[in-house]
Amino acid sequence: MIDYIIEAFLSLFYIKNITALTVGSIVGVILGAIPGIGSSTSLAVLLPFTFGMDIQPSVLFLISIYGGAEYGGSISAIAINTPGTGGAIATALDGYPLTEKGFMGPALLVSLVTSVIGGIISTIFLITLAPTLANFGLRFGPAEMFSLGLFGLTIIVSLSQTNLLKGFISAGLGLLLATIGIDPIVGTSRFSFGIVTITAGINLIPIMIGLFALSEAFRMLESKKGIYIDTQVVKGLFDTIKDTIKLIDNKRVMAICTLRASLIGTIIGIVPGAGANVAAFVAYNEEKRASKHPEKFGTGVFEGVAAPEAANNAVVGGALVPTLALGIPGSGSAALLLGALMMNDVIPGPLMFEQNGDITYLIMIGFLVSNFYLLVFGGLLTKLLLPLSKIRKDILGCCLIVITLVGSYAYRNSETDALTMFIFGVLGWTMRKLKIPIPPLILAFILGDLIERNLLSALLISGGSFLTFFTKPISLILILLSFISLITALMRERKHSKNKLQI
Amino acid sequence: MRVANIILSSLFLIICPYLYFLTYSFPPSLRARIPGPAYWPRIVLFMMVIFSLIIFISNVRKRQDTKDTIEFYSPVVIKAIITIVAFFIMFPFIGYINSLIFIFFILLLIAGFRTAKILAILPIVFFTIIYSFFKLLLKVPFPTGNYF
Repeated sequence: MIDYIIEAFLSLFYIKNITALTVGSIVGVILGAIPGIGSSTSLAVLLPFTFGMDIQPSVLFLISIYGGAEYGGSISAIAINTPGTGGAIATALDGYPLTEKGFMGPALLVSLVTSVIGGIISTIFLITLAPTLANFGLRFGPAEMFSLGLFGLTIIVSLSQTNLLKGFISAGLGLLLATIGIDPIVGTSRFSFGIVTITAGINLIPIMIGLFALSEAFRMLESKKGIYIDTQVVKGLFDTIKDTIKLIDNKRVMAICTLRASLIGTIIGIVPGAGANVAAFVAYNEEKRASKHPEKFGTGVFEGVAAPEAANNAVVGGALVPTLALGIPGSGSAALLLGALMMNDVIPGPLMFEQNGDITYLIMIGFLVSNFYLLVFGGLLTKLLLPLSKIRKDILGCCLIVITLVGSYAYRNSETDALTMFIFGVLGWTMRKLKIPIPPLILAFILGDLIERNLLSALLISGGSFLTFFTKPISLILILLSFISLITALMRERKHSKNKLQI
Repeated sequence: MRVANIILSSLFLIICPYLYFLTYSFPPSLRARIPGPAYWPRIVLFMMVIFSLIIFISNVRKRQDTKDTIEFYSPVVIKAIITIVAFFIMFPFIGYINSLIFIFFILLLIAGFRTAKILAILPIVFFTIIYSFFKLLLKVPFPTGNYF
């Protein structure tokens, strides 16, 4: 492990890797700062740009985009009360009031520093937890892997922000799409309808580009908004640092707040499907609860910016724990990273630490270092990026459509991939309109093969007996956890609909 | 949203049983008591039918539509979708990149841009970047058309 860590650190000094981290951090912050483009869309749009790269710079490029975009979302949240990403919604609650008070610069600086701290703390957890979890995962047989896949799927669906049933429909669609192509036992082609190009199955990359990027481009075409921001109120970096230090009275409280929120973000990130927005709101509420002046929250306090920002960036490291150790993506963005790894023949999961230790540790160390890049470039660029919110979204939408058409073709020089991407782009736009969550579809598509393969293998070993899933302790615990997560989600939804009726 | 939910669930209630029916054409299992290729798709399809039924019944039973209505008719997006379809028809004739430049113009027009500055400068700058990266740097062999 130590050898891999040292090797990963050393490889970060290669020019190509430094360039990847630099460009990734800058582009991530830029895209995150544009309202509507979250980390998932940023990753989906920029994924095609990694096709010609070696695996090391491509992975570093993507993880620095992931972290950069999570921070970038706070820029528009603080400046114009329009969160760039879901994770920055809670940031706007106190960030924008601070701007109204004339403290936009200090609020942005607090957001940057706490984002970086959140990212670093979560990476430390990632480096220590992921190998342990992967070692544990090595004990898993087909029955346990099936139950794990099922658990991942149920928790993703139960945490989907919209209707639970629609979450199931989305996941079902993903599982169904995963069955297209060659089956894992007999080797027959299923649901290909004589179309030669999908006889072996549908590729993940065009699906992800379509669902995340093209569908977002369509939404952007519907919007024409651009808002004026007075960038003059933000001073130079050094003056802002001085002002911020003066403005934060109790630095100890701020430090504790950042640490607490980072821990919350990491833990929530580990849970598949919970995501940055859940983490940011939980951290914000916890901070409000712990504060001696909860009534001040919402009126413009720095803790109200620090807590959600530390938490939403800590989610990135947390989400990578199950992604790398078990092959279960913690979020839509993590699923895109997983897709990028699979594209390079690296299969995330317990064996990844043995078979591709160099890449695994490079991801972790790379993410740690990318936080420092974010600190530098975020600090230098934030003021320059403020006018980005003025970009008309429909121009951006037109550009995104072209990039998705080029990128999906460039992946394998295949027109079918471009067509697949288009079909899924339209599907994604329709799903967004119908308020059907997209992440369960992607995660189910990824987990579908794992679930089916292990279900059939377990039944093959047990001679067709389903008892095998209940007699193995780990499998039984995972099935029980799946059941509990579903019941909890059902109860929450019932309560929510009752409250709605009362209103 | 109520009507949209009913249409959506009805669609699934038609498609899923059809796909279930198709699974009978899959070859049988290699060994007795061991599931074959149709086993897993059938479980998924069965579950989808159940969920669609619940959505269908619960929405039919609702007397009023909820306030969260959706606007499906979005002329800009529909025109953009038609433009992309036109792109797929066009590129075998005039080439992938040429077709993209053409649809980029159309998309800008659809979005409501009429100024010469945007219609002239943006495509040139944007396609220079895209072409340099994908064609010159990554050497992606974009299809050329029959005529261009």
